[in-house]
Amino acid sequence: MQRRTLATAFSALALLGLTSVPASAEDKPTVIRISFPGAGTGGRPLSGGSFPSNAHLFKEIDDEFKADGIRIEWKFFPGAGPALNESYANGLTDVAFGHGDLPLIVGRATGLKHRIVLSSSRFGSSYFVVPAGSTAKSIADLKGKRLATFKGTAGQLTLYRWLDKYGFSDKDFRVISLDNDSTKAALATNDIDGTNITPFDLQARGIARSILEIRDDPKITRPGTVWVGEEFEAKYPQIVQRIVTRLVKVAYWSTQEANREKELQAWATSGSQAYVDYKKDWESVSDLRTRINPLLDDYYVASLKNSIEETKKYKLIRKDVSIDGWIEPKYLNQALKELKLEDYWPQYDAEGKLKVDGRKLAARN
Amino acid sequence: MHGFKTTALAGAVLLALSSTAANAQSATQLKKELDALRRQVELLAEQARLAAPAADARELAELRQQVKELKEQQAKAQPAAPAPAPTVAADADQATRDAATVATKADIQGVRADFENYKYENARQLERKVPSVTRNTSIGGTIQVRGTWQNPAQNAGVDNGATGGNTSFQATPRHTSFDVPSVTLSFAGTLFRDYTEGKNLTYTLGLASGSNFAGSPQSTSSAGRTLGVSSPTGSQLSITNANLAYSFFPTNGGQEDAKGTLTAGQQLVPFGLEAQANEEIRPVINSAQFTSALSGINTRQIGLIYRGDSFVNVDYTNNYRSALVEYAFGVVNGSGPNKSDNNGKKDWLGRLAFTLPADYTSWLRELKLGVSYYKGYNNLANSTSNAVVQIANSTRAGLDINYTHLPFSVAYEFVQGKDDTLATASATATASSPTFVKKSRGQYLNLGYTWGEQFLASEKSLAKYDDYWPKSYQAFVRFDSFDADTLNNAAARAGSVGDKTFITTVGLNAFFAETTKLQVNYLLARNDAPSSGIYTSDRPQKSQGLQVQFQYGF
Repeated sequence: MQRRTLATAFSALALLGLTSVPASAEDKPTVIRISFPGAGTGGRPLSGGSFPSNAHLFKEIDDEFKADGIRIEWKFFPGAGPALNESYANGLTDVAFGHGDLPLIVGRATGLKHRIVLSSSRFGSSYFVVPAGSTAKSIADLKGKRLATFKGTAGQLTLYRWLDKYGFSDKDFRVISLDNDSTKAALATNDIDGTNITPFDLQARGIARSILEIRDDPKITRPGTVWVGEEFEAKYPQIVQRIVTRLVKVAYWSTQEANREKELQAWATSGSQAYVDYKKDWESVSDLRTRINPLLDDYYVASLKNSIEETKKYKLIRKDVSIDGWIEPKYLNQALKELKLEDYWPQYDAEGKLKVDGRKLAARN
Repeated sequence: MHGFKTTALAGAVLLALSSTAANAQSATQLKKELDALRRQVELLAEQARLAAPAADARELAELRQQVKELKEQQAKAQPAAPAPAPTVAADADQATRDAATVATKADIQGVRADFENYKYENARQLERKVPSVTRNTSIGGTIQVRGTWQNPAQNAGVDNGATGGNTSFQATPRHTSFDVPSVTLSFAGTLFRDYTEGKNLTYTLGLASGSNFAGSPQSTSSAGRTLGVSSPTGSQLSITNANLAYSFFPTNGGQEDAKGTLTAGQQLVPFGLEAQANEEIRPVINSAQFTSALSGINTRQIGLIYRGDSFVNVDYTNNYRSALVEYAFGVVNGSGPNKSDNNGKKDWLGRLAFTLPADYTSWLRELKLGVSYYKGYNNLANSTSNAVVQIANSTRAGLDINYTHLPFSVAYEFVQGKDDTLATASATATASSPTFVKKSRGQYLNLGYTWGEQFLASEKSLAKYDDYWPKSYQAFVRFDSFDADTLNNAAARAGSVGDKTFITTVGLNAFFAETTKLQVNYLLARNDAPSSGIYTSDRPQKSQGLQVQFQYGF
């Protein structure tokens, strides 16, 4: 191999590499890349089920930066949380709207650097669902059989918590990996024996039935997270503040009872859950602030720590994860102050019990 | 008389009481009862008019009241009247109003009609417009359209010895040509699906057109280098892959499961990197020279090959999977595609590859080292009688290193072939003719840099409404050398010099739609001097070429 030619080639490649690095010293980006760990049925760029979804569905963030000429690039990953991690690892995402605990933690464990600025959701019901023709009445009846979860997502840990609660582990079953749409199809064809999924639409279609239901148990579900990339945050802190403030504003709007129907119907447009699923899943929530809560309170922090321990326990990460410097509440605090919502949302203790009740406010637009 | 009145009154009261469950009764039934009661009241009124005692008048008044109440109940029980909608606040939004609006039977029938129309249309389309297959099948293919410029010009009048169809002899020198070098068609599917563990039985059928494109610098013959290589099947479609594969390991359990598949039939040989790369992922238009020069690994083979991996590492950051050990071993005819074994010996092959267990974000991700070995047998024939006089040993040994950490990619491959070769003229070869071991050696280094997200699973599967595909560009440089006889000693063996070619290729690939890429390659080929020391026009010291190829798939 000719040494001179080789050296020239390497130099050319190095030059290509250097020139491809975007040089930017501006105080605002030309584009903000915001990612959701999920997508609508059939690969539609839609999301539902949370107030960050509302921020997209009702074009809140687009409006926020329209006057500045900043384009919002929305990304929806059918590959869910793990795909979002891949995008961020390759420098293609700036902000994540609602990352689940497992992909968030494994991303951190393998060196992804981001800052947690908000909680995107919390609590919620969880259901154990079997095919309609199944004779199973309990999880024990499914021992040794096929359970489906989308591995690498928050759903994997949720399933493991279910199994743990009833005295089993994943080793007692054959746990296979399927995404949401495939899980529904597999229930219809009896290719799986059980899973965690919202059952109401499936029940109405005669495909599946729920054998167990846990409503708003803080030990089963974990909060979702909104984060910004460290580099993006360091470069554009004012932009981050505007995103967070707008999100908190959207969160406030989303907690108004008068807007319940509007958001449930908007969420259902994604198709990942049917309207009846949202309707019934949320009908027990008399105060929407219970689930739509952006706070990084004791419950959020304790949940994150618990999830880290569980992730280690199930050997899904090899390295330890520290939350030091990970959670950055200053943007949230500023937003709450600016919007005069400091005591609007209820705060929960580490056990998920109500610690400070939320202030009642009259609805406002 | 009194007894009759009391009985009538009791009956009326009973009717009134029983009719309190108005919703449970049909309006028709209620109307009948009302009519019966009315007749009784009229009868009582007639009797009262005749007798007119005060007590009866009171009873009559009571009965009139009851009839009035019954009428009210009947009015409430009208079936056509819809249930009143839940009240909503005057300033409620449309979504809230929608949620409080009850659907009528006509609404439901409308939706049902839509469903029926959809079902009809779908069934009609399936019956008339959609091709069907017996088993689960996916169909794909690639087509290449190429334009080539070369200098010096391709010479005229050199017979390339091709006998296949569509081979056009060069009448006058030329610098340019348009070609369709390859068309492939593939079918793949599942013959048996194991729903429990995913130990499936799958099949593949591949077809490819051979081409007679001109000017193949990697060809081992001077005619081939000048005029190009004639495909043994001309431009006919021939079978490339024809195999079925069974997974001995579960395939539906998740990425952490090890893999193990036995493939029987005609298939690519698991040797190194380049020889088993398909057209879709190969960055350079022309394959490395050794892949076409060394028999055994340069074509598909028929036989049994087991491929698997072990010690799987999954980084759940992005579900990145890597296996510490990948392995393959098998036995094949060694006589190439679509041919039965042409001698009594089988060819054996094996490959081991090691991938460093690393997290997705590690710089050591996708660093793979592989070794391959192919032990084959070639027939040595007497060129006069065409009789096979000896079965000769033929081995291929390879080493490969691959590092694909976007945006950078590096691939290096070294292959050495050893072939027993007749030391005497083949025209007079016999079973006792002496042979020598001819060593040939090929190696290449490919350095690439990629812009864009073509190779990121997350980005190319992004949810979009339109025909989205991430635009990507890939620049590369490849240094490729092949020495057909490494002795390089003209005194000892005249043919061992003048048989080495070094090709530098600089290229840019543009991926602008799914399964579609535009490739631009600039090639600079240098040949070593022949034993005479004088370069010939069909094997010049230097030649250069430009290839522009549009490759698309479906």
